[in-house]
Amino acid sequence: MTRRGFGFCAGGFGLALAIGWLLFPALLYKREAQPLQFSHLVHTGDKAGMSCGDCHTVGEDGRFEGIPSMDKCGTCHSSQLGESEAEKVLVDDYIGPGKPIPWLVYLRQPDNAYFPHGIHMSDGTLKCEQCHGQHGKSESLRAREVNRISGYSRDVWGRNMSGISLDGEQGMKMDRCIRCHARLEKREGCIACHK
Amino acid sequence: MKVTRRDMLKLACGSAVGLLCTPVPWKLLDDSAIWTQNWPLVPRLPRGPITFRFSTCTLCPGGCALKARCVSGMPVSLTGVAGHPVSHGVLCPIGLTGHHLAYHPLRLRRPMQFVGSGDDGVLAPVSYEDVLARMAAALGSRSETETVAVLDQRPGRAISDYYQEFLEAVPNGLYLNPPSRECSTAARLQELLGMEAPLGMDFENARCVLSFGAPLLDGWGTPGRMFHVFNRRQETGLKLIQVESVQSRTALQADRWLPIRPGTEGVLAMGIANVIISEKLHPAEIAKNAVDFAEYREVVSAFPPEVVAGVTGLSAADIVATARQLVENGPAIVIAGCDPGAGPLGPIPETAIAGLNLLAGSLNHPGGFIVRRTLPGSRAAAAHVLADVPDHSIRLLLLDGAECGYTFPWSLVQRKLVREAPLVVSLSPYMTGFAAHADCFLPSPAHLESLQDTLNATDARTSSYSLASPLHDPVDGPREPAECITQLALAAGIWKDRKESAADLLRRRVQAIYDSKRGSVFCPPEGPLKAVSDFADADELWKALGDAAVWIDDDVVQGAPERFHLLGRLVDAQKTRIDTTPPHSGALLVLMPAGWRAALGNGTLPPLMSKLYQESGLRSLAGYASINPATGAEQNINDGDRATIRTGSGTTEAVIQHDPSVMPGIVLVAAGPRPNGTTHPAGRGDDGVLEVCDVQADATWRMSPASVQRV
Repeated sequence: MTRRGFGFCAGGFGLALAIGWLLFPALLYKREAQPLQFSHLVHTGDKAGMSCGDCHTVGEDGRFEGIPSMDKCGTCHSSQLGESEAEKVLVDDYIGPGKPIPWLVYLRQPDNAYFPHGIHMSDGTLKCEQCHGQHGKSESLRAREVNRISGYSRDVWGRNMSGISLDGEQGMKMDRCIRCHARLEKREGCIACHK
Repeated sequence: MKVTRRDMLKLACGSAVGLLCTPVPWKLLDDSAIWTQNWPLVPRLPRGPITFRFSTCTLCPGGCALKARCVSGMPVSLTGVAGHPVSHGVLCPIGLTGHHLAYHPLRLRRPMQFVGSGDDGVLAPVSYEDVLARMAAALGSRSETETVAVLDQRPGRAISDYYQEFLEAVPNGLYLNPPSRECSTAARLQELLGMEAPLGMDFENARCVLSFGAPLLDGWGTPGRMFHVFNRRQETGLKLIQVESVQSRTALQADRWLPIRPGTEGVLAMGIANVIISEKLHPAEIAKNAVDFAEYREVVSAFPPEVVAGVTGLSAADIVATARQLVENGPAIVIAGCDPGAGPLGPIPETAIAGLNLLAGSLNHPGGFIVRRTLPGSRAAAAHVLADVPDHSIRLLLLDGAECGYTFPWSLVQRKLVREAPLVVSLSPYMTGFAAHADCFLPSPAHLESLQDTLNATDARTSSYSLASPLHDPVDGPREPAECITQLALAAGIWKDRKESAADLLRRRVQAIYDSKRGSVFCPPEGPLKAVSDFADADELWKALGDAAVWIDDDVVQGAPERFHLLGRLVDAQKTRIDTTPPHSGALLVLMPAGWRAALGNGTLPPLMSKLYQESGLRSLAGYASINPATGAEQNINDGDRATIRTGSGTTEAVIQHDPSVMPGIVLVAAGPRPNGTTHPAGRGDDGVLEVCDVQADATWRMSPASVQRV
C-alpha cells in the first residue's frame, strides 16, 4: 500500500474512532434535566443531619419507598425554609398544590428483574454507598442520560461507553449483582431475581 | 489532490475497522435487542400506586380470607389476612396464586360448543342465544322419565339455592352434589340421628382425633384452622391418630399412624366398637339412647380385635389401644376421610366410623360433633345421590363451575346420561376437569372476577359467610350462572318474568342474615368483631361484607335428638363391604388414585403452580405412579421406568416412582393435575387414572385390582 493509501485508511480509522467514542455517545443518550434541583448534601450534612433512611424508607410490608412522597417533603418544607430558587419551586409548584414531583429515576431496572431493597438492607451488611456511591452527598442532581434506543438510563449500563468496569462498580446490570453475591457468598437461583 | 475511488474505498475500509474498535456496533446490537423488548405489543405490568384490597378465596370450600397487593388496581400478589377468625392468616399455595387464574391457558371468554361427534369434535364459537335455544329444546323435548339435572360441586351458596328453585319448577329436575366431599361423616351421623341439621367438628376442644384417611393437615376444611388447631397440640394435649394405607403428610405428622390394609377401614371401626362395648368404655347413657344398641352389640361381636387384626394388618394391641385412647383421651372426633382423588370410603364403612362418635359420647359435647345452626336464609339442600339416579335418564346436565377440589370418575355421570343426544353444558370459566366433557360452554367469570359468596367449610363449628369481592376488572363475554338459569327458565316458559341477578341472590342472603340479628362481623384487616344487631341496616352489612368482612354465627349449640341408631346402613353389612375377607386379597396389586384438594376437581391450577409440580416434584402430576421399592423389586420396575397399569376397566400408562411411604402391594396413581395446569388438549376430557378405576356397586372407586408391567 502506498503512503497515500495508508493515510486514507488511517484517516478512516481515526474518523471512525472519533465518531464511535465521541459523537456516538452524544447522539445515543438524551439528557433530561430533573424537574427540580435537590442537594443531598444540604439534607445529610451538618445542617439537617438526616440519614438515607429518613426519606428512603422500607415499609412494614417490606416495600421500599425510593422516591419519598410529597408528605415527607412537606413535613419540613410546608413553607420555604431557605432562600434557594429550587426550594421556592418546590413549595410553590409542588407542595403547595399537592402535585407529585416527577423525579427521573436513574437506576430503573427492567420488569423482569426483581430487586427488593428490604432484604438487602435488613441485616445492615450492605450500606447504601455500596451501590449508590456518594450520591447521598451530592450537591445537585445531574441530568439523567437516557438511551434513545433502549430507553434505559446510562447509569444502568455504566458511564464508560466500553461497558468495561475496572473496579467492578460501574453500572447496575446483572453482572454487578452477581459479583457482589459471589463475594458475599449469597448464591441464588435464577428464580430469586427473575420471578 | 484528486481523491479517487480507491482512496474512498481505503477510507471506508479504515472506517470499518475503526468502527469495530468502537462501542457503536456492539452497543447498537445490544440496545436494539432491548428496544424489541419494549415494543407496545409486549405485555407490561402496570406501574402505578400500590394499594391493598381484601377478598375471599373461592377455590375450595375453605373460605380463606386474602389480601391482595395491587398495582394500578391490578392484583399482583396475594397473602392471607393475619388474625382472621376463619383462616388465621393462612392461604394455601393454590389460593396464593389464584389471581393468575384469569389468565389460565384454558380460560374461556365466550360461549363455545363442539361441532362434530366423539373425538373428532371441533370446538367452535357459538352465540349465547344458540346455546340457550339448544338447552331449551332439550328441556322441552324430554320424555316423561327423562330428567334435567344440575351438578353443583359447592352446595350452600346463593346460586345453589337458585339451582334448586329452578329444578323444583321443572318437572323431573334433579339437584346433584358430587360423591366426594368432606361432609360424609356428618352425613352418616345425620342418618343415624334422623335429623337434617348440619354438624360441625369442634377440633378446637377435641383431645383425640381419629382420622380414617382424612388429609387433615394437607388440605381439609379451612387449612388455617387446621394448622391453628394442630400447631397448638403441645399445649392442648390433642392427639391425632391417622389410619391410612399410605404414610401421607398427615400421617407423618400424626401422633400415631396405623398403616391399614386398604379397604378394611370399616372392619377396623367395628373392631374399635367391639373393644369399647366389651370393655364398657362407652358412657352409660349410650346403651339407653341407642334404639338398636342390642343389635349393634351383636353385630360388632363378630369383630374381636384378633380377627380384625388379621384382616386389617394391624396388631390387636394397636386396635385395643386405639379404642381405649378414643374414650379415655376424649372428647374425640372420628372422621371417615376422603382422599380427593380416591373418593369416599363408601356408605357402609362411613356409617361404622360415624357410629364411633356416638359410641364415644362425642355428640354435641365440646370437642366432638356439634349441631350448628344453619345459615340464615339458606335452604336445606335436598340433593339427590348420583348413584341413586336411574341410568340413562338425564337429558340435560348443567355443570356448575365452582371448585370443590375433589374429583370422581366421569363414568359415574356418563352412565346417567340418556343414550341418544344428551346435552351437557358447562358453566365453568375453564375448559378443564369435568367441564371438558361438556358439549357446550357458557363460561362464567373467572376467579376473583365477579362478586361471589362463600360459606363455612363443612366441618366448621359455627356457620360463617363472606362475599368474595372481585379484584380483576370484569371481562366482556362471561355471564353469571344465575343469568344462564334465568334466561333458560324464561326461554323454556318455566318462569314468566323473573329477573333476579346474581347480586340480587347475594343481597337476599345478606338481608336474611341481617334480619336474623345473629352473629358478628369481622372486618379486615384487624376487626374487631361487630354484632349484626349494631349495623344500621342491611345495606351497611352488605357494604361491610362487600369489603371482605366475614359474618360468623354466635357459638350456640343446637339440640340433638336424644335417641339415635348405631346400625343404620350396617344392617346390610353382611351383604356389602363389612366382612372379614380383605378386599382384593387375591389381587397382585391394588391401584389407588390419589390427589391433593384443589389441584383436582376442575383441575384449574394457576400457571405459577408449576413450582410445586414440574419444577420440584413435591407433588405428583397426572401420569405418575408411586410404588414401594419392595414392590418395584418384585415387579422388576425401577424408579423412573414407564409402566402400563392394567385393571379390569382399562389400561393407563404412568412413570413409576419408588416411594417407601406407600405400602407394598399398592400402586398409588396421581389423579391430577396435568402438566402446566392444562387438560386434554383436544378438550374432550381424559380422566386419566380415573377411567381405569373399577367403580363398585356402592359407587366407590378407591381400589382396583391391577397389574403393572414395565413398558
